[in-house]
Amino acid sequence: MSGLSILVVIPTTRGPLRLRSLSPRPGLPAPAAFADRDYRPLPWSADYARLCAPGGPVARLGGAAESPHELRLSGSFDAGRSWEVPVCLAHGLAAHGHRFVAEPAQADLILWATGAVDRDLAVLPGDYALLDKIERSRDLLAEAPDVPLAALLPEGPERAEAETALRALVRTRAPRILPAADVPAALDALTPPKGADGPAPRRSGGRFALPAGAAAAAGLVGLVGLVGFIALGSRPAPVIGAAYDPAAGPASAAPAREAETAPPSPPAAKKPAAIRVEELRAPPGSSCRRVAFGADPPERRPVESEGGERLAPTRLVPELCGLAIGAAPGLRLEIGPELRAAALPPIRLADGAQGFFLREGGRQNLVYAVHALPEIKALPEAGAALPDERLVHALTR
Amino acid sequence: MSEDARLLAEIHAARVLTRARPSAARPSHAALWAHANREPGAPVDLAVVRALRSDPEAARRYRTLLGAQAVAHALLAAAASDGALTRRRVGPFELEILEGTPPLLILRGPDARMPRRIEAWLGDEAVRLDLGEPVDGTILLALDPAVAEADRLGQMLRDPACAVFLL
Repeated sequence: MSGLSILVVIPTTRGPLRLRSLSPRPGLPAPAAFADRDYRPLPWSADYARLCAPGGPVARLGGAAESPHELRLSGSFDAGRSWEVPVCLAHGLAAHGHRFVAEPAQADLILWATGAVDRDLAVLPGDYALLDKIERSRDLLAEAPDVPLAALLPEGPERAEAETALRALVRTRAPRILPAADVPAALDALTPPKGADGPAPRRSGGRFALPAGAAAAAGLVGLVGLVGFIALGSRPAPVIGAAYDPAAGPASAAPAREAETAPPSPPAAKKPAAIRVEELRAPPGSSCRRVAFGADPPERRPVESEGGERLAPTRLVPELCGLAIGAAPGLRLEIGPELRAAALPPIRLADGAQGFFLREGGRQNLVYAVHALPEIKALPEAGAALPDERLVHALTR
Repeated sequence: MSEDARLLAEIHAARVLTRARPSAARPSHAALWAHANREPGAPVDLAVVRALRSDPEAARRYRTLLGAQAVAHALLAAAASDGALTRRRVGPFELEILEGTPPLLILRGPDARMPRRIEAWLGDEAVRLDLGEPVDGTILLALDPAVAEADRLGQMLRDPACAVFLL
């Protein structure tokens, strides 16, 4: 039981949260997550319970991961899935006998990670607002510049810049970037294989205290620094493509005022080719939960245009899981905050479109706008080809 | 007794009666109804709270009102116990305190209609808390010592004399 004292930082766009404890609680009907100074489980506690259910992804990490745990964080947030990677890593670290502390100065290692996972614990690429999260974590990390820092940065539009930003932090040793393919790979990089007995924790000074046997033996995972920031806060401006915005605040209650239109009579007006909006539906016999976790591919149905910049309203039927929004080459998208607030952090679909899966609490009437703007680099040759386009789409009950 | 002394005594008695009158004024039915339907943590009518603590009749009326609109309620723990309770039934619901740090309150019940709030009474003291959303027919609450009301609720629920209203 020579585990390390690890501070797990869950970065959000409202600031970093700290994992205070992760304790097995025999007798608990299901895993539950709480925040300090709140007696009720966090809004996403049910998602946490599903992630950690017996036979589920986290249970495969071994240890006592299969018994119900109580997860306690230093604060709360409303939505988003970027807590999944740090929480899965914490379960894996606990299974290896490591323990958690909430103060940087007490830690042998600071683990900064963000991102969502699929059922195989693969880290989903996306826009996790890494730069914003790193910036907001700066003060916390600066409290203990001597403590080794490891980070997991998921693939996404800001990853390279985020790695540069992390390496630019003032620290005694350069941060290590963990492999971002999946959680087990990151854990392998952090912990030794079973054969190598973990040495006693090394307070400060020492190199990255984690037993290095595994990584060395495998020789694979380029353990780079752990730098994962879970962005939760809201970002002021609309974000291109994957607007990973877990803490975008309460779902926008934007009323869908013009949603009363009778059956859509698509006048087959010139459909703007710059933006394509499709419904993501659960196929018969499946469910949105299975679709969201990648167990079943969604059915995609194009949303018809009603002429002008309006799309036919979409009904919020149970089988509607979300929307796929794509742009023509050379264009970038700005998605209205109403949809971003009502959906999980977007994921990149196979064809490059952004998938916005609706949150359980986000199934309310809303109207959002999509704006396609020429990418700065594409401006010279975009010329007459594709001027900026704007579409308005309503989701109604 | 001289005339002056008797007059002084009458004035004193009248003053006592005058002062006693406000506490004798019982809260109206509407005031009790508003108090029974308040949101946890919302401002309360202090006159009503005072009456509930000092006037047994007002307290009885209030609990009758509360019981009438509760999904389930129990004025006492049904099971005999010689110590602190960790499990009790309230109608079709089961409340269990899972000891630990912090203790957790587990509320299980039929899926059909889960309560949204809990109010506990012990003597003249009451605590009302919001219940979160159920997950698989179970509601969890952390009886965290750092949250005064949740901590107090846990202490009260361990007392067999505590009345529980699930609203």
